[in-house]
Order: sequence, then structure tokens, then C-alpha cells
Amino acid sequence: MELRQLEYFQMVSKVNSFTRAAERLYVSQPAVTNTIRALEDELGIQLFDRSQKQVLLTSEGKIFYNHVEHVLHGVSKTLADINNIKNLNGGILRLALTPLSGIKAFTFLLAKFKEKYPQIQVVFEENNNEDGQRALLEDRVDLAFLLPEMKISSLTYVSIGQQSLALCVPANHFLAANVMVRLEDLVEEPLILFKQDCALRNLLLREFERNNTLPKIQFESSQVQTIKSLVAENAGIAILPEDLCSVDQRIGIVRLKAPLYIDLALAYKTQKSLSHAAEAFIQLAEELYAEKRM
Amino acid sequence: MKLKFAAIGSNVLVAEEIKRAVQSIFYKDIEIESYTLDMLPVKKMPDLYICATTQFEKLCQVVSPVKVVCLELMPSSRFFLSVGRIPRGERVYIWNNHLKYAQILEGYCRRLGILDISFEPLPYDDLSVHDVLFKLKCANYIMGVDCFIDGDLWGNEQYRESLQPSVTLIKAQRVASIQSASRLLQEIAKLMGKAILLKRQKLQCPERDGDAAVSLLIYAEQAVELIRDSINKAVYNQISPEISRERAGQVVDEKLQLKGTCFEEKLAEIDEMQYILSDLCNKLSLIEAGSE
Repeated sequence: MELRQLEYFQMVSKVNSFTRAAERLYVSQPAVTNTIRALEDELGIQLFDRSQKQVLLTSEGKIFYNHVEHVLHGVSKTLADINNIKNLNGGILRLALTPLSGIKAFTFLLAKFKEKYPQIQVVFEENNNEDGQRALLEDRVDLAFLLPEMKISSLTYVSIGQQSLALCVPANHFLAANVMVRLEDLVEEPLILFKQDCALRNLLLREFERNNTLPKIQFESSQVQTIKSLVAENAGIAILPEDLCSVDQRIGIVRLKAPLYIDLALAYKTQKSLSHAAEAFIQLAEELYAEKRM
Repeated sequence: MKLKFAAIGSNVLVAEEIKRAVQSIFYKDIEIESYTLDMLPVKKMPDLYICATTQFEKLCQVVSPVKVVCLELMPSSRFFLSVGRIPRGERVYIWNNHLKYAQILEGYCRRLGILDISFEPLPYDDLSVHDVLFKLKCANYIMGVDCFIDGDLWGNEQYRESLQPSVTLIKAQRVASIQSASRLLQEIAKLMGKAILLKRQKLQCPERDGDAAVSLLIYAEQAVELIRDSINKAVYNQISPEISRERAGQVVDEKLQLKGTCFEEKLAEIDEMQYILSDLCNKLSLIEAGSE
């Protein structure tokens, strides 16, 4: 006997179809059919009348349904949480990443987590900032690394610090010899930016506007590596988090005179019961970074 | 660190029923003895006293209330499915010593949608023997708590012989409700958590305490496993105590082999298990409250 059997039984009863129940449960239809059959065998009764177009509860099935509803009323989610604890030394943590997740604060946290919980499988979903937040709200992921530019009230953000931005120019560019540059000095330079909906792009455009200037946008990409390759090939300049400017000899790194920073955060859905793996990840983030919830 | 329990009932039958209900929550054997209220243990003091709600006040007059947990007993799905098979229009007698619980049983059945049969309470301690015999003679269906049917009906020659040969007896094996099982498991988790904490504080020297750390880690892992598996079993019992006996669990000792051997790692793992145990306790309190 397993809780899963009761969950499948309740869903088939509600939607009167094995196929629709399977769709709602994100499992295959044979998995639902076989589970219900096993439950019927264990109980020694037929729960559903399959002779009609719709799958309907038999009279015994109705009694059983009412009893299961009574037994699990208000507790099924907590029971599922308790069973998630089983996955402490296994299980899956689903994590949304943005193109900027290569920043050391993020990778350091991931490495520490892997070291502490080697048997938890971490699955990544790569999105831009906005998609990452949507993935959290739709329960497609447990956690997301985000730049908390536009906060959503139903999400909780754990700060994992800030990252300064720096200018990336081709190594032979005239600005490469400078120690520092001002944003105004870059107005005539072809700028390679992240695509729209990227928090970093929005921040840069706002800063240019604040200085009453507009950048000359040459290329747009959602990939850090593409942007850097374009810079290395003399196709333009870019402003990136310092950690991502990297060690490519064909790229020179120059600091901004008026420093710009991006906030880094680990986000999760506030009104959601988190798996133990997700809770362990948040706890580790809070331990490693002084700042707590934003 | 094995815990001892006492199952307390108003009479021997109920005390034994509570004992069986507690045992059925666990996959492993536990140390539990049954007592009536006037025969409480005086030497082997249990860690917890478990009683029916009706005995709580009386029991608290003689033992500390912090050591008392009430268990609410409920029939399983199997019982209701059997009652549901009684043909439409038939009458079923509800065999119980007193009227109150007979009415409660009827209420359970009606709430589950069993409406096409009639229920007639047969509170045998409240009726004359003559009246009881009269009703038993005309009964085609009798339902009731298993220990009362086995003991006071089938075990009573006069009553047994008055039954029709074709009578159908429907016995309710009662199990702990999920809410009360959660309450019991919280108390057990707290006791285990305290025991782990006390032993953990004494572990300091890798050379001297290495083996003790391994033993404590095994105990802590088993404690987590026990609590987690037991609440699942309490749910399965509600469906059918017979089919909840099988367990597809992991063996803690095998898991332990996968872990690091360093003393500090063992201590960290013990701390982790304590954290999980306390997390389980919090979740069980949600189940007890019937909320998510």
C-alpha cells in the first residue's frame, strides 16, 4: 500500500478518466491504470465501473472515496512533505538559472551544496530572470538564482550578495589602457547587450538614461559566452559582472568610475511547502552569506 | 534507549484493543503492556501512557499528564466496505456495550453514504438479557467492534446460540485515527530527540567516543525512519490494517555504510538527524491539527 495509490484513486474519481487523471498527475496512463488495479486487488473490490464511456465509481468505490477523503482531509500535503524527507540522501532539487548564474557567488553555493549533499541530484532549468520567477510561481522549479530587480510579493528572496560590473573591451581597444571609465565615455562605442527581459540590460539602460545618454546597441545575445566572443573579435564592448569577464587574453577589463552593482538572490515561492533538499539549500545559502531574507 | 509504553483501557478488552492499535502503527516490535485503570504498573514505569479519550481525565489523576497520550480509535475502510455490501432495505444491528458508541458507528456509516439500510443499536449492557436475545434471534446482520463481537457476543454461549446460522457478523478492527497517531508520534519523536541530544553532548573525543558516535548515528537514523514510516502506516491502517503490514523500506545500517568515517562527519550527521526529527515533529503537529 502506498499514498500514491490513494492520490491516483482520488484523481481518477474526480475527473472520471484514467487518461485525464494521468495528465493531471504528470504520469503515464498505464501507471495510473495499473496502480488502481493493484489497489482494487489489495482491497478485493472493484472501485470503478469501466463499462461506460466515463470511468465511474461503483457503489463500493463511492464509500471508499468518501472514507479516503475523510482520512486525508487537510493532511495529504503534509504527508507528502513527510515523505519528501525520505529523499534527504537522494531526491532532486530543481533550480532555475539565468545566464548570469556563472557568477562565483552562485557557483560557490552550488559547489558547497554538492559537497554537503552529494546524493541530491540538482537539475537546472535555464531561463531569463522573468521566466525564472514564472517557473517558481508555476512550481516547475524549487528555487531560482535571480537578480531581484522587480520583486514579486509571493516570492521570498535570500540575498547572496552583490557583484560589481566591469567593462569588457577588445584587448587592443583604446579604452583597454584606462584604469577606469565613465559611462558617458562609452556612448559612441558599439555596445553588446543582453536581450530584452534581462535584468542586467534593464539596469544598464537605466544608468545610461540617468546620465542623459543612450548607448549604441550593436548586438544582443542571451549567452555570456557569445557576448564575450563578440568582444574578443572586436565586434563591440560589453558591460558584464566582474566574475564573468574572465581571463580571455583577447579581452581587456576596465572598471567603471561610478561603480555599478547587481544584487544576487536565491528565490523561492513563499506559500509553498519546500522539499527537504530545497530547505537544505536555502539554509546553506543563509549560512554562507551574512544577509538574510530581502 | 528503547521506549516503554502502557496501553490503558476502561476494561481488559479495550486496553488490549489500544495495545493492538499502537502496535499496528509500527513496523517493528515495541515494548507495550496493557493495563486497566485500577491495575496500573507500579514498578516498570512506562515512558508514555496511551489511553482512550474517555480515560484521559481519570488517568491524569494518577500519572503526570505530560506522559499521557489519547488515542482515538476509528474503523478502517474494510469495515465500511463490508457494511456497504449489506443489501438495500436490510436492517443491521449495532452490537456495543453502550448506546453512545453504537450511535457513533451509525453516524460514521451514514456520513460515508451508507443510507439504504437501517441501523438498530443493540447496547447489550443497557438492555435486559431478554431483549438482547430477542433481537439477536431475528438479526441477519450484526456489526460492531471486533473485540466486543468476539468477546461479549461470540464468547457468550447464551448469545451465540441464539444467533441464526445464516447471520453475517461484520467486525470493525479499529485503528488509531491519523490525528491521534500524529500526536503519539510527536511525543515519541520528542523523547527520542531528547535522548539523542543528551548522548550527543557527551561525544567529544574521536578516539574514545568513535564507536558511541556510530551507535548514536544509527539510533538517530532509525528514529527518523521510525517516525516517518509510522505516520504512513497510520494512514494505510485507516484503509486496511491487513494490507499495511508490508513495508518496502530501506535498511538503515546499509545506508550508514555510504557515509563518511570521520568523527566530525558523524557528529554533523547526528545533528542533521536531530534537525530532521524536529522537522518531522512540526509536520506531525500540522497533521494533528488537520491542517496543511
